[in-house]
Amino acid sequence: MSVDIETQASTDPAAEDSSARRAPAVLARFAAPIGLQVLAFVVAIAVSLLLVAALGYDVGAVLAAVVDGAFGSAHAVSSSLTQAAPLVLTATAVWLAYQVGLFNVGGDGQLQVGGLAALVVALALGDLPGVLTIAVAVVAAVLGGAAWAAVAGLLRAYRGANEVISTIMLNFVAATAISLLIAGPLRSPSAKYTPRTDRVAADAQLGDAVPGIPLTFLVALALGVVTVVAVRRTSIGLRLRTIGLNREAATHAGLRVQAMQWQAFAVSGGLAGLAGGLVILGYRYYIAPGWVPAWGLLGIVIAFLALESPGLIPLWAVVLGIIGAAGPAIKGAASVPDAITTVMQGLPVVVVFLVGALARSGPGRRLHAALSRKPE
Amino acid sequence: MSAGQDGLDVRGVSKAYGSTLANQEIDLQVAPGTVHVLLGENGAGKSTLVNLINGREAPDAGEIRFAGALVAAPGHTRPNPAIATVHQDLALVPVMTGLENIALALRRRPDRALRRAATEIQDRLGTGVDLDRPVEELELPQRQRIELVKALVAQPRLLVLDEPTTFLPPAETGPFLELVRRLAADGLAVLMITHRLDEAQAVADSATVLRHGRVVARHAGPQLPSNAELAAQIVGTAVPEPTRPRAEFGPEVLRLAHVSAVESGRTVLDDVELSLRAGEILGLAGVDGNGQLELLEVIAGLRRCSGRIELHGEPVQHLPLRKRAGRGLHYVSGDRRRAGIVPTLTIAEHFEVVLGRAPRDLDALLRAADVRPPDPRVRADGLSGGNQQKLMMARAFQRSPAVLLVSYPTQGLDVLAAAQLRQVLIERADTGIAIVVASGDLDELLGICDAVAVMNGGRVAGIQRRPFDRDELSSWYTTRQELVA
Repeated sequence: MSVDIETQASTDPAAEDSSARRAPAVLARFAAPIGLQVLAFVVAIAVSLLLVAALGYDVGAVLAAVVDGAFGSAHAVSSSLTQAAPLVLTATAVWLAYQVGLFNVGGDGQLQVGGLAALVVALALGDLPGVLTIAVAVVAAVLGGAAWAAVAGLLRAYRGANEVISTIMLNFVAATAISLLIAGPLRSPSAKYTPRTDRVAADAQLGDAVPGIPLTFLVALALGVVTVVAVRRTSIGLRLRTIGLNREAATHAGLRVQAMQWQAFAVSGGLAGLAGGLVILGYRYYIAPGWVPAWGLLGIVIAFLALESPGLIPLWAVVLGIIGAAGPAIKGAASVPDAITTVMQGLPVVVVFLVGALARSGPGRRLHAALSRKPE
Repeated sequence: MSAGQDGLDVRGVSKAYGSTLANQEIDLQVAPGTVHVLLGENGAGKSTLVNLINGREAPDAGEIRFAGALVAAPGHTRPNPAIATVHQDLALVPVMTGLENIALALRRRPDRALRRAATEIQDRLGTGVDLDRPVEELELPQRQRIELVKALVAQPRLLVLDEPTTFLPPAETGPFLELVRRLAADGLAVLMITHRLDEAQAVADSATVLRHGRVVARHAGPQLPSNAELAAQIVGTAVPEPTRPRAEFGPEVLRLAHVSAVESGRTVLDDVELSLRAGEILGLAGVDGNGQLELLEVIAGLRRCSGRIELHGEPVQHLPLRKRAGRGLHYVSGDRRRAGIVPTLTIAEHFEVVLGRAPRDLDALLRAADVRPPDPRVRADGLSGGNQQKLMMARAFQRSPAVLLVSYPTQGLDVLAAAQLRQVLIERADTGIAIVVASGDLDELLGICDAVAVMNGGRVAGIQRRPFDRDELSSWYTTRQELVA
């Protein structure tokens, strides 16, 4: 993928603007008009249901299970939003790094390191009052994720190492290191067969703020909003965007390009790390093999759907959160393999990308134009 | 001036891009054995016309024929193999040899037959470029010869030259124009595009002047009107060309001692010594790529160097660009798109990025700098090249520079905008700012500078102060001389 990015940037003489926005230029193609995104969502649902029907399952039962799983009760809403919370943060993380022209593919690794940091701190401080434990654990999660991302950010800023490659590799390192830790030093004495850690004490767990609305979602939403507003409305944000839009011009303007790039990348990792911390404190409470799905990758998907209108990040996070949370429900109610939910999460992007590609090659141009038109 | 059935015949051609009328009802004929010069400033529609003649694009109206055969008409293009074009930016693959490049362009193999054909043409042109050396090892004039051979091997009957002398040193221009004359004498029809009036005078049998996409004047040669008259036709009004009055200089503000720089093993700057006083304008001349840009980048802090750079008597060579800017040393690159503007940001944001916030009297400031439109909310990509350049200048001046470095400030600007920009530099120097300006246009430098240094192979081949001796300056472009101060 990185090869694509480089060649795209250097061989596209037609696009004056895209030459300025260099590294992840090709990714900007994901930035889809809102009409197209809605269409993508509808198509994704339709194709998924066709798939369900083709496999011989009861479409009605699946639909009912999804609706019930999403809206059936306060608990159902809460569990959807619980899944949406980390997505808001990982998507915001990718969006932020993109503003300085970098592509953070390391959300998964940063999230896991953040989760690990929160867990270790929460277990170590078990005797303290819950609120205090939570506060320290949250800070630890942010710092953990930030440190993990800073490795890639520093390598990129000062040594030119491609951050896509290094963050992917750091994802593997994080996942493997955590596997080793939970099988060894962090293994709970009570884990009989599969290795897992101890649980976070009950008073250090985050619950719902009001029934149906988990605290973790509110925290994630608040930080996502703060991040976007800071980038869009402050002077520092303007400098970050300048770096992403035209690195050379930023250098000539005297901005501390390298420092700002790695620092923004570290903050990006901090957001992903916080996602991991919230998962531990408000959802999983301990680490076992497979404790998190690929929320980092889903964050990339959301970030590029919402690239030009970051206000869509929470919306997409909630939608994908609902679909994700519906997995067990449809498995239980209609005995459909819950892998179908992963299909439903991935399809919108495929649709957006397909229509985008068609729009460049002719047949889809009119459709794309129609969907791009701003309502005025 | 009829081309008859044999030459190029452009009749009533119009072409629009969006709402921009790039060409409007253009008539133009080029007969075999003659050189026709197409004059006009940037954006006058010259390149559009070249693309139509090449059969790359179809006109909206009118038609283009060559030797009677239709080349382009609305909805129809048929590139004519008898038409060859040498583009301004040379289209050669650096790592391939001259012969391989020629073969690539013609979709032939670099075999003996091709070599014989190319050598024959070289003999005819009186050039002797080594066809077996990688193009990247050749000097620019030699590369251009390769381009020319490439075009001629296809045995064209019309040769289109798009600003062919842009990258040639002054000393090479004369011989090149003679070569063009010789090609015409052999029966070739030549259409040469240029904005240098002296060249037009030297080479043209006839000329057409374009302005805003329209033909505003036709001249049958061999005697064209005076340069002043041609310039007035090109621009539409007489261009007041600023000249540098005698100036009083302040104390020394910038000094370079033994400044050298290396880039991937190659010496790009070699023991440069310079001194600049407040209020002085120093020009960096020379064939492009001989260290002018590198020198400005070294002074600005964008590039490492050895040696010593003193600003107000204090060494700054170890400081990053940001800190040098803090001490009043600023650099405005002429490569606006790459290193100047951020297309999607507004004018106000361009100021905010470096100043922390936009100046309160920004509207007045923009009007004073003649940025059009003077609206802080306009995005940079909504400005013309000249206005983008004025914006970058205005931003630099807003930071009260003691020393201003400028590279190729008028590159890509039309005649009027370029003259305005030169005027700005002169006026600012009079307020005590020391200015170093690199330009590929020697005449531009002679007009505004107090001293001109010629760069050659990373060295300062020579420095002259007013009054300038143009011939001596030109001689430094190609030969190496000891420092003359």
